[in-house]
Amino acid sequence: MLLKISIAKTRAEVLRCQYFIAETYNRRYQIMFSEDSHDLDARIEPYPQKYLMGTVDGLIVCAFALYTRDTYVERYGGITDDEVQAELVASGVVDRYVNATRREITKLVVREGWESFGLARHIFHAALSRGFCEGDWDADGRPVLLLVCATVSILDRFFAPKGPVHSHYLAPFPRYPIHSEYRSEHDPMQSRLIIPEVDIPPEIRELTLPAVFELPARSPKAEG
Amino acid sequence: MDLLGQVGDTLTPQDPADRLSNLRIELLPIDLIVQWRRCSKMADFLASYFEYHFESRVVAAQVLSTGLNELIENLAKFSADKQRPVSVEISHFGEVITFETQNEARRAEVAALRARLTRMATTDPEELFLEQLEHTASRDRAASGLGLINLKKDYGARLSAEIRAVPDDPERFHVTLQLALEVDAVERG
Repeated sequence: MLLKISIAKTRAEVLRCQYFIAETYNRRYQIMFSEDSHDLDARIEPYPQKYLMGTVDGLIVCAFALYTRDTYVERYGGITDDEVQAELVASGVVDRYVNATRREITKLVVREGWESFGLARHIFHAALSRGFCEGDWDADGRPVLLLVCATVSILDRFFAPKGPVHSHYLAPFPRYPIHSEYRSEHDPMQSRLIIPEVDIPPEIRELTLPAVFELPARSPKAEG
Repeated sequence: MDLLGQVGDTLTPQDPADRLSNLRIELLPIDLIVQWRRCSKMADFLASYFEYHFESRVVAAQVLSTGLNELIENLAKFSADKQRPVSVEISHFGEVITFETQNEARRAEVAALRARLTRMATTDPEELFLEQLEHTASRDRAASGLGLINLKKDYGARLSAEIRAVPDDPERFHVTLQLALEVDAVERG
């Protein structure tokens, strides 16, 4: 069984990713989406601009997305330029990220019943490939810094020391009612920075998309 | 489908033969989840379609849109299967205009609806309004409900639901929600 991960390019592919993500987020977290108005207090989230989709025999089984501008972390997380700059200085790469644009990886979704195939890790790594997260989507040639926000348990699951990708803690993410279904006192949310040149190993950063991965040959669980 | 209960205000039955005008729309809740602004766009469209029946068109459009927006949002939020069609139907009977929505909801959502409609039918709308305002501000803006309470408070809107069993699924119920507004109350603004 083969998993194909590719960038959603046509309008139809983008729509399929949006429906897949929105349906899953609504079922799990009672969240709605909007392209032209959003309000975290009313559980309405903004859409990301770019999508990555994982398919098996044409069926979308996982998706990941990217805010190429107006990142969630900056809009709602209250991250300041100084906090980001301090991490670049500490990593000794401030010269390489002058006038950098900030993007954010977000909305990792795996289809119900397909959780035990390792799809999340595959699409997470594909999302960090240069061709996706550092693509020149805004045609301005600026270097790219990545932001991410999630619960600590999710961050710990994907980033070093458990995984090969590193990240830099920026700040706790403020509390919003919209996150009530998955954050808690014991599992708070954080904002982190990923500096591609420093934090993403070359084998992930240089991964070419579309990418194909062999999956265990067994049936997914029936959807609930 | 067996009628399991009727909850909320008592509505005067309208004879379909007296209907001056009618519009029924069927849609998928997932389309609203995917683009939430569609709720208000749909409400505004339906309200503007029916505003011609009123002398005070601007006021009517605003009042109708308020009620419809909340009913449409509830359809999206409380439909058990977001891929199963739901409907919104508006009927104008001359003295009364009714909005009717139909969908399938889960047991917990039906229980919450029953409790809410019972409370709305038995509590002074002013008191209800202040109570809900406080709840919304302090806890949950998504569960506002203020629009319908406002319509009750300012325009004497009446709200009722019929709950029916869904064959072969004890956890799901067919809900028909009806809101009735006196046309004169809307005209008076």
